[in-house]
Order: sequence, then C-alpha cells, then structure tokens
Amino acid sequence: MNLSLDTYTAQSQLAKYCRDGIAVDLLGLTPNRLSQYRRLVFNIIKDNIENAFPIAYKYLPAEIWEELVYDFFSIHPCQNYQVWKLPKEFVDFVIDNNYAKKHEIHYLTDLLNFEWAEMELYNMADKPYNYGSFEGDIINDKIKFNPEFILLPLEFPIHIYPPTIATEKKGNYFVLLFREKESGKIQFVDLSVWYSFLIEQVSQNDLTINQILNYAPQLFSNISIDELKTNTILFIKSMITKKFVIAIE
Amino acid sequence: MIGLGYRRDFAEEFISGSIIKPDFVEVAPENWIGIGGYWKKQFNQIADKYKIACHGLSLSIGSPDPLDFIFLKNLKAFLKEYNIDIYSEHLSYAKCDNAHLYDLLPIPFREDAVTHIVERIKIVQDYLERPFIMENVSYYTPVAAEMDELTFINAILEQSGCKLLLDVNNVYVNSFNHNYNAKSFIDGLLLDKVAYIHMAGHLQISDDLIIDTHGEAIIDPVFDLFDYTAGKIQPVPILLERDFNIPEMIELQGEINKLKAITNLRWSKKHELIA
Ligand SMILES: [Fe+2]
Repeated sequence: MNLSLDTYTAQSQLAKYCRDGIAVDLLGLTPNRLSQYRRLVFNIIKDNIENAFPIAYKYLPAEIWEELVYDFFSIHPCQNYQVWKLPKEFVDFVIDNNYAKKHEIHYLTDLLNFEWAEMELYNMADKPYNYGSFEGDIINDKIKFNPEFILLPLEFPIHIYPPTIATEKKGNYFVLLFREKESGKIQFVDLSVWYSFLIEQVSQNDLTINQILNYAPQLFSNISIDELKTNTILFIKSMITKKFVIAIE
Repeated sequence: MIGLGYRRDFAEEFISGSIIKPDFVEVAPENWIGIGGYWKKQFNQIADKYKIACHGLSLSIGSPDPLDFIFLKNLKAFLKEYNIDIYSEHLSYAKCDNAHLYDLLPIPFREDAVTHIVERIKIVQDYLERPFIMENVSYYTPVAAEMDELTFINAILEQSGCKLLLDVNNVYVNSFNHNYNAKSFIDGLLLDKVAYIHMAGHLQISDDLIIDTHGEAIIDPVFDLFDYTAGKIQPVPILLERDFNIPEMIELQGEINKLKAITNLRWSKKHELIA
C-alpha cells in the first residue's frame, strides 16, 4: 500500500465516525461540516433497514429498533458491496447477538427471517425452469417444483398474525414462499409439518409421494395413511393451480 | 447524447418512452448484478430499448482496503452481458477497515493518496480492459489535505491516464461550500480528459452549505456553468441524475431538452456514447 500511516489513519477515523457517530479530531476540517457525513451515511443505513423490515420497524419499540440499527452499523463491518443484501447481515447480527432474548421479543428472529426471505426471493437471480407435463401419477411419479422457493420453519406464526398475536402462539410452523414465474410476485403458503416434510424430501432427495408416505408412521402416531394420501393428492393439485408444482412426469 | 439515470420508480415510463425520451440510460451495476425476477425482466426491456452506461458505487478507488476482485469479476461479466462500453466511478472511498459504508467519503488530498489511487486505477483499467472514468465528487469538508482539490484531480488524471467524468453540479456545490470560483476551477481542469458529464440538482441547507442530493431541479447557475464548460470541451455524453423527490416526467424531459438546446448551440457534431 502506498498510503502513509497519517493518510490511512485519517481515512480510518472518518469511516469509524460515520459508523458510530463518536466525535473524532481530524486535521484540516471545515468547522461543523463533518457531521454531514455521519448523517448522510447513517440515513442510508437506517432507510435500508427500515424498508427491508416494515413489520418489525412498526412493531418494535422505537428505542429498541434504534439500538439494533445503531449497534449493527457501529459494530458489524458490512460485507456486501450490494446494499440491497445488507438486511441479511442485519438479520444475522441480531440473531448472533441474541437481541430477541435480551429484549424478550420472542418473535423477532422469525419476523426478521420472514421479511428477509420475501425480499431475497423477490430479488434473487433467476433459476431458469420450464413447465413440464402434468400427465404423470401424483403418488407414483416424480413431482417437480418451481425451484425459486424458500421453506421457512417458524416458532411463531408471524406469517398469519400480527406479531402481538403471533407471540402468544408458540409452536411449529412452516411457511413456503415462492416466486411466480410470470409476475415475479411472492406467494405464501402456510404448511403443516407433513407438507413441509414432503416438499423438503421431494426437492432434496427426489422421492415420490409414495416413497415419502412410507415415513409417515414414524412421524405421526394414529395416522390414517389412506386419509393422508387423499389429502396429499388434494394438496399437490392445489399447488399445481398455484404453479408451485411445475410438472408430474 | 443526453441520458437519464435509470430508477425503478419510473421504470414503466422508460419502457413506454411516451414522455421521457433519453438517448441512453445510466445504472449503478451494484443494483443489477445478480438480480432476477420482476426487476430483471424490466431491466432487460430497458436494455433492449436503450444503450446503457454504468456508474458504480462500491469500487472505493480511494480506499486503504484492497480492491475487491470478486466484485470486479462480477462487474466485468455484467458489462459484457449487456454490452456496456462506459464504466465510471467516484473519486472517493466507500469502504474502509473491511466495512462498506455505501456512501462517498472524501479522500485526503495528498501525494501518497494520488500514488495509491493511480496504481489502483491502472489495475482496474487492465482488469476491465477499458478506459476508466473517474468523477469529481461533492465534499463538505477537506480531510487532512495537503493540496487543493484541483491539483489532486489533475494529478490523478495525468498519472493514471484515466478520463474524467465531470460533474458540473459537484463543481458548483464545491465552489459554494469551499468559496472558490467555479469557472476558474473548470478552467484549471485537464479538460481534454473529460469523457462524460453529470448534471444534477442539489439542496442548500444553510447559508454556507449545499448538499448534493440529486433530489431537486437543476438551478440556472448550474446550467450556466454547464454552458460555460460545453464551450471549452469536445462533445461528450451528458447524464441527468435524479435520484430522489422524483417530479413529473415532463419536468425531467424539460431538463433534458434544456441540456440538448445548450449542446446544440455549443457542439455541432454528434456526441457518441463511446468512452
Ligand atoms: Fe454525479
């Protein structure tokens, strides 16, 4: 590096000041101007995070929200050169530092993950695919899904209820988010454990419904396989209508 | 050629081209690399209709941190995918101590910074296999400066061989904020290096401070400074930047028309979009 220690230090101090807002003494400043940089930089970060998490921003007490954003930007060195991916770093920061526990906002992790999943899916690079035929047998043939999806396990049903209500309903929830090919819009489907398991197995292990049904007795006691099969066929048909299932071949 | 910065807020207007009729559009590659879905479809329609110029945000040429070659690789692929000739960046830094700041910080106007930046510009030019264009930025205070802004910019242009994106509004903003004469500043620049021009609006927030917001209409003194500059340089592409406080399209087209009228008077031959 060609930079002298003095030059590097000046740059480093200015950058640090923009991140934490703690006054610094730099050479040759025009009085009262440096604060513009902190204001402009921090506004970009605040706006970015606010816009990415409109529900969390609305429901979290203002002082807690401010603490999260302040801590995030002052402590965490932002890694992504694309600012639209910054919210993911925010989610990871909040989770890694246990803010949900610290402030007893139990739904926080789920909510941030959910809001980011929608944003990520909406913007992410295309995974090109074509619709195939639907002439196969739902139970015995291979089912293909739209590859542009995220399956999110949740502890609180923040995809169904506002956070204040969701926080009272701790349990095991699953939400499927997928991007519609034609419109690019994100669809949400609330899933039971079974359908979530099924989507996971079909997409990861390329199993047929029949093969997956073999696992059902291990997953549920007192289950009627016939009933489960009938319901699963209805579910797959509804997912064809929604264009999440793109082929049965 | 008069271009307009592409914003998602008025994507439809760009595609229909009924009111707004720029000759080309400028985009930040960072906002488009690896994007899919709805916006990618929109972007492809834009790319089918308009020639695209790239104006980057994250290269951070003045940073003490090493250059990000993963970014440069993605950038190069993006420029190739959309057949983009022009790539420009800011003479500032946006990353330090391994942390992105997503804004343009002022580089200390110092000899060692010049050497550092010149070396990096050469690396980027070699890697991207194209001439590189650096923009003079607005700054609100010098930091640890040992020379003036003009000497700093000229030294980099001269030693690196890169071209200049002359942001006329930034010259106006800096001349106001730092009490110098904007026309003398223009006179002092290596004007044969100018390859591209930015025009924009700004916001005066106090008696002695203007912020470069890109959120207002261009004021007459900046049009005057542009006219003055146009009289001293060869024809180059001109880009109208408008990022916030987006007005009716007819107003933006009015600004484009005004810029066109000035260049028609000043420049007889057509200015092509070639770096
Ligand atoms: Fe500019």
